[in-house]
Amino acid sequence: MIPLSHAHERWILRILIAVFVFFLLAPVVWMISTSFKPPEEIFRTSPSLIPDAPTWRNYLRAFTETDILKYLGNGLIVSSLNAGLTTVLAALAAYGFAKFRFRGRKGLMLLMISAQMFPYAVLLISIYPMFQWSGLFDTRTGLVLAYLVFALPASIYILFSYMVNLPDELIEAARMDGAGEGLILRELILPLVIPGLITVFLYSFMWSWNDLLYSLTLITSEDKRTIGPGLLLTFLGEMEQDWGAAMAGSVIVSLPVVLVFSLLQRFFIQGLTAGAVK
Amino acid sequence: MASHPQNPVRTGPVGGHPRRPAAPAHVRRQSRFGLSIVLPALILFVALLLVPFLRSLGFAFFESTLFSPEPKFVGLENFRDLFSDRVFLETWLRTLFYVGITTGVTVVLGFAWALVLNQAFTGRKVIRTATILPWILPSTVTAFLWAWIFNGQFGLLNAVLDAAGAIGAPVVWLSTPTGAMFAVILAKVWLSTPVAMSFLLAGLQSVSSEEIDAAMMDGCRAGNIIRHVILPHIFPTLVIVFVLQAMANFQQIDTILAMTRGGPARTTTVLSIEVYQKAFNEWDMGHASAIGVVWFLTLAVPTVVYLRAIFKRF
Amino acid sequence: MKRLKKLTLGACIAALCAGAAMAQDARFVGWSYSEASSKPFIENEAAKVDGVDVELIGFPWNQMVQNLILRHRSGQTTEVAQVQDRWMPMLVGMGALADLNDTLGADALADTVEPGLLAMGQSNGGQYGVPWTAASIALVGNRELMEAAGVTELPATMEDFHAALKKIKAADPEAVPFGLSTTNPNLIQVESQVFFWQFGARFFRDGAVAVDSAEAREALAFLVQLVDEGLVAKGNDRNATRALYGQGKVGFYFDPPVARGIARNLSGEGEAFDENVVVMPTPTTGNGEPPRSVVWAHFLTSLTAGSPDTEAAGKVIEHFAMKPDVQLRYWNELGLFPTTKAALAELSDDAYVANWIELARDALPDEPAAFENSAQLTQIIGEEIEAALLGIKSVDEAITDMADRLEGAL
Repeated sequence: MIPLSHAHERWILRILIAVFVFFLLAPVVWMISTSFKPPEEIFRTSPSLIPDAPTWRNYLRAFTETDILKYLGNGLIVSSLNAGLTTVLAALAAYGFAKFRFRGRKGLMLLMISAQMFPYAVLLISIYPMFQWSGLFDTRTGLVLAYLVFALPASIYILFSYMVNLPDELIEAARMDGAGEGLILRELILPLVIPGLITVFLYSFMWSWNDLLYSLTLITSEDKRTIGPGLLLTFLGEMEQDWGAAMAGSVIVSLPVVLVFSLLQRFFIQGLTAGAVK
Repeated sequence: MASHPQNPVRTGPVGGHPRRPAAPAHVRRQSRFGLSIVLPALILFVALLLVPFLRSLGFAFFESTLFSPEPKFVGLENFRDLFSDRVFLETWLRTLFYVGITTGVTVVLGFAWALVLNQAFTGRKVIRTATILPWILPSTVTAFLWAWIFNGQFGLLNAVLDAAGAIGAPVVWLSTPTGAMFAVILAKVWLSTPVAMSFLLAGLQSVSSEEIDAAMMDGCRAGNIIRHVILPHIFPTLVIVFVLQAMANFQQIDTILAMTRGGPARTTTVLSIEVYQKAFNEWDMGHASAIGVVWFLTLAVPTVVYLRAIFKRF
Repeated sequence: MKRLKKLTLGACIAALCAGAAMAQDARFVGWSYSEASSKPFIENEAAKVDGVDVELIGFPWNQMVQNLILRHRSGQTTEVAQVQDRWMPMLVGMGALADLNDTLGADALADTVEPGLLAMGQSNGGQYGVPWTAASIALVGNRELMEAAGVTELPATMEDFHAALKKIKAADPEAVPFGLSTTNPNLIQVESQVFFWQFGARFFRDGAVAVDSAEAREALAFLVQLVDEGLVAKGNDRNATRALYGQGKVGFYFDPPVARGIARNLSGEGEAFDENVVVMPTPTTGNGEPPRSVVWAHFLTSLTAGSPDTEAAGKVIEHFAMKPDVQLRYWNELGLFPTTKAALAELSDDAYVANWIELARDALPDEPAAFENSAQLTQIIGEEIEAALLGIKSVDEAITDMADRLEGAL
């Protein structure tokens, strides 16, 4: 940090803090505020911050007149499965890349990381006929599989950065003691990278939770919809002007990730930045 | 088999070049294990990413619409259609504009915010955690939220500007080209700033305090310290963050789709939206894939930069 | 021992009976199911279909055709699908729809359904959809709002219309006198089309692009003028307009007969709101063109993809579209016109129906719908008109660009 000796420098800091906090948080406050307002207060050209007559109406509407709970449920299932699978696969692959030498290692790793640059909408053009003929179309399983490839490259890279720093001597010592490779991975390595595993789990969970494009295209049955298309399609039709309910729905749908994130945020930021920036 | 005096153990054909000694069995076993645990991820990657991607690109050379039962090979015709279409070229330029501005503003804001959070002040930890919120919200929620703020009749923006006397009548932002583009850029910048900040903050924390103290001894003020001490140090990180953000912005479709659907009158249609429109509204896979190829090539430039930066770490 | 035998025998008989009475499955995909005003009706009626277990699947109208095509391409079985008239040519061309003559019988159909409407669902001798409701998209007015503004008669000419709009604006500055859709190219194209027709312009003639004309420019210029004068709001689509109409904030807008049912729901006044909803002939321009509207119909179809239970499909379609009592209930609850001869005969006294049907005689089918790539053509037309309405392009530029792009797409 830079020591600030002059008063006006400290003032600039304070102003900057205020501006940024306002910029980043005011919209969210506004969203919450709107969600508690009755229609009369929403459809006003000079709105107020705090509702004059706060009401649960919008939340009630969201719960009873939309299928938001169903969408939440589907989202949780798909995202958790995806996060779990991604973490396992990424951990295995990262360990392989970090601590072993085999032919094509560098090339493979570069290839997998470069996948981040493949435009996703273009991928979709082939994925959906592929899913049709393999029967994965309009299934949650299919969606989980499609999401795997989103977060995998970045997850492998994050865990790779963690594992590459683990001392080789530890592993060698365990081998000398006669431990099998699988045992080393399970009992020695994984416990050491738990923060990284948590990061990867959260990261892939969030990615699939937030997705709109794939879930909109690959799932067509209403009962399997996840939150992105659920929100969008619910408020595209007759409920289009019901901003109160739309904001309430938005709050409801954001809660799970916010909750999970606030509990585990320490690991998350650590993990994200650990590898990329040394 | 003749044996070279200095290299008693040798494999390879008679009369061939001396080779590396064969790896001992346990090393080979480890190699196999390493490869085997990479395999599951690799197989899925090939099946769900590589193969579909190559096939998608392949579609670009075929005519494939709702009414062609079998795709028909047409060579470069789809590309010729694209490049002679003024509308497509506009879309491409618009994408560059969107990516450039969004990325630039995100990095600048992220850097400024990181500098602020690098200072010590009360409540820093809480603020740092709380302000990551924009990134956590689902993209659809962000799109709805900003569409609501920019709403032409009852939106917050109009209310604020009206109260400040800056506008006479409510502006229907999302129905004007500049307003819609501004809204779409702002929404993306808003949600990306926390991430950019996180990366840059980590970079800032590795700036040595001795250097800063030395600079202060020389009478430097904060502004100069930032310019002469911090910036040079953090420059590589800035580049990485910029490239990562640019790649993400090139891909961005969710917020735009949910806010403006590419409107009004195409003015927020970027390449991602165009591909989606062509593929899933007009069902013209051939042209959609051709656009995809152009998009991929455009994306390849920053990617090569990124990969080279990473490559160094190997 | 005897008791055990009796029980077993009884169980077998019960099982056989249950097997015989086992319901067939049918999936019914539509957008009416996803709309609050029509959902209860659909649910109730679906439960009444004899011997068929109907699974209802809803999508918003905006996503409907996309999902139908996706279902067709992915082989998802869909016994019954609700289809908008303009999508019929495209879906028939793709081979997505089954010939209902096979399941329902051409004779039975000809006996029950009004012939003009039945013909709309035919192609090359096959019956690909049974009309479920049919009328036109026409101008709907709010009587209460008009009277409050001093508009005593329905405007008959464009000048009258223009004057009426200005009066409404003067009486209530917050109202939207004319709720023309100004966002969503699909809606813009359909609605503006009526004005283009009224001024004597056509997008296509004999399969060739014909929009580059003085009449087209005149029509578009008129609409642009309305926007500039604040008589048409920017950024509203039909859903938003319907909501405002229900709140008494829109003077005129385009809608099919669902307008009444939706207004009942959105105004919160139920049937009491009915007398405000009045259909009106599109104002004329003195060029001999009769008041135009757009042909509008919902069809019930059966998709060919997957392995549909055609018999079950037939039963569902028959229940909803061929039974006069069901049709009349549809009309009573939602204000949607029936298509069977018997039901229509019953309604010949109702002014709302009679007026609308009278107007519909001069209705024209949606122009781009006749083409294979109708989606692309609609998008082009809608985008260019949107650009002009929002002031992004001049009228001349928009028409010229539209003609260019349409030529390129044909």
